[in-house]
Amino acid sequence: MTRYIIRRLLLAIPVLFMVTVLVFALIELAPGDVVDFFANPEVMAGMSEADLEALRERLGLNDPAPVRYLHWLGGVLQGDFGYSLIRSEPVGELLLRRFGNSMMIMGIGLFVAVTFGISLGIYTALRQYSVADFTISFLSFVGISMPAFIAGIIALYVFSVQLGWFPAGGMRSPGVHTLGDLLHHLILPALVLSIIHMATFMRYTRFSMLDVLKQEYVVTATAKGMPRRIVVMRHAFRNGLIPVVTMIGYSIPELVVGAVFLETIFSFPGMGKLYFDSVISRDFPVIMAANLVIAVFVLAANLITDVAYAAIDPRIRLE
Amino acid sequence: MAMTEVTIDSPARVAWRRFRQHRIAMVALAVLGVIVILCAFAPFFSGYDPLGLNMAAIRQPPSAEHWLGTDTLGRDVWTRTLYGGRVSLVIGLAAAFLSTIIGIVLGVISGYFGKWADMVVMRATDVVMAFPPIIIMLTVAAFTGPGLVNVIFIIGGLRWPPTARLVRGQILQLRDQDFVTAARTLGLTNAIIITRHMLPHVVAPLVANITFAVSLAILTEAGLSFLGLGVPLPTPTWGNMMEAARDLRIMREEPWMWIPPAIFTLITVLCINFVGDGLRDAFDPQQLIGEK
Repeated sequence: MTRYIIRRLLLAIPVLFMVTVLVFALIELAPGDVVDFFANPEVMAGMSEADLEALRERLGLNDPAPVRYLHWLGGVLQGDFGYSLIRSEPVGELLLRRFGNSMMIMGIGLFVAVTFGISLGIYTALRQYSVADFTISFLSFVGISMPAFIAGIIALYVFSVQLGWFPAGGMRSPGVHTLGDLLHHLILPALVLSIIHMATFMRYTRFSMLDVLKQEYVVTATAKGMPRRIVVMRHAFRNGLIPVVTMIGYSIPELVVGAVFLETIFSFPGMGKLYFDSVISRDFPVIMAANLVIAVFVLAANLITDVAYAAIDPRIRLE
Repeated sequence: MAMTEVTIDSPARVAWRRFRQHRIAMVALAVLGVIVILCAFAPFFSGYDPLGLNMAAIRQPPSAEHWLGTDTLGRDVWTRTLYGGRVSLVIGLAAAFLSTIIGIVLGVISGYFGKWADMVVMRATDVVMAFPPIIIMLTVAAFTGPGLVNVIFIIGGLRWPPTARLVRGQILQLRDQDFVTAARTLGLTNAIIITRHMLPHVVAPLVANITFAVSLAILTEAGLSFLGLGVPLPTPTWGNMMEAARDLRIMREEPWMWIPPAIFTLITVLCINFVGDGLRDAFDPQQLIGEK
């Protein structure tokens, strides 16, 4: 097991390296540099072309790309992501704060999706071909076809604008610092975020449970006269859950995508909104750092998932 | 003289027969057909110009004259929804086509030639997949600038990893089978072995994958355009029409501007996914064996 983990970690190193190269290269493709960014009449009135050139030299912008890449990478490895061009704040601190806010939405969303998705999956598997099964299965199909941003604008329109049950955006009411107020702002975007994942988990759980319920050891347990509840929960459910566990890990990228849209729609100050705002305003240091942090987040989630999968399923060979 | 007619079902015909039994998929296919016809022949279903401004009739609610009302510049929303569907569907098909081609080529290289080629391609898919799909597209779109062709290339160029993995897996299974070894022994070139002998086997699992790629591409375009980084106005697409909903005033007061494209997008994607589901069942080889 330890060897497997070490091997996976070693494999992740070249991928991680290429990720940093890609993050850097993407920004290189962009026209202009930091100096161009600031060299607009309002910010730098009265600077001559020579002054700008001197500034470029001082900031190291005239160095060849590989040198600048190594310079950037060196900083990143020491936890220094540079300064935001717009928010005049260290990118590291900014990201950390926003990431924390996003984790609340993503955490609640994932929790709801896992709980309800798995419960509904078991429920429908036990009642295959019933009306409830068809209805829920059909709804789950609608759910997986429902992108976060369309669900988001519809939910905002219905529940905030028309019914007025939830605030139309933000994270806190001005001047209010209670947990209840925070939850009131979080709940709608988090629930919308959970839809697509709930549908996915439900489908996987149902599929997996139907498969497991046909196994002979389940028949044996039933034949021994065990109560249905014990057979389902103790014998079938544990094995049925294995494929679902991997789905939770692999749903992280989609969760991040959903967060970008929903935070933008609900003006929620999380990392997704920060990312989008930075892309629009071309805040290079923030874009690079956010891309990198998100990619590392996804890689870590994949790694943990694979290890967890191997850990809970002894049938998997770890050659 | 009595002649016995012998018919041998081609795999495609068997699949079609099985697909027809999938009731929801058939309904979805019919609805999809209606949407495609509405969009493709948009001029027959609307008398307005999708780009025609009419300052005398801006922000009008649905009426007999403008079935779905007008937008902030007095353009007919029904007309723009149909014309927008053209653009969205074309982008969806083109981007899915592109990502499928890239996925097949890289998957074949990776699976057939193995060794370092496999290593390189697989690490490349790992790297691209480390970035959640729309995330990296936003960065690329912001730098390349908005535009229809750019959107196709961005989506197509970044959505190939799942296809590449699928094709690689299939090719790996086929590579050591007897008929491939036989083809090689006969001295056939790699190109012929791959295209004539191996790829036909990959088609079945790929068909459902392609349908899902189309619906994903349509959603991705809609998402990018919704955020203002996809196809720029005035060209209508479902995504950039929905962008109107980002204005809280329009979202609240003039929902007819964004609800129609949202509904069209949802129905289209749902139908494509149902069709994909039907195709996956129809092409499932295990079920094919079960039938005989």
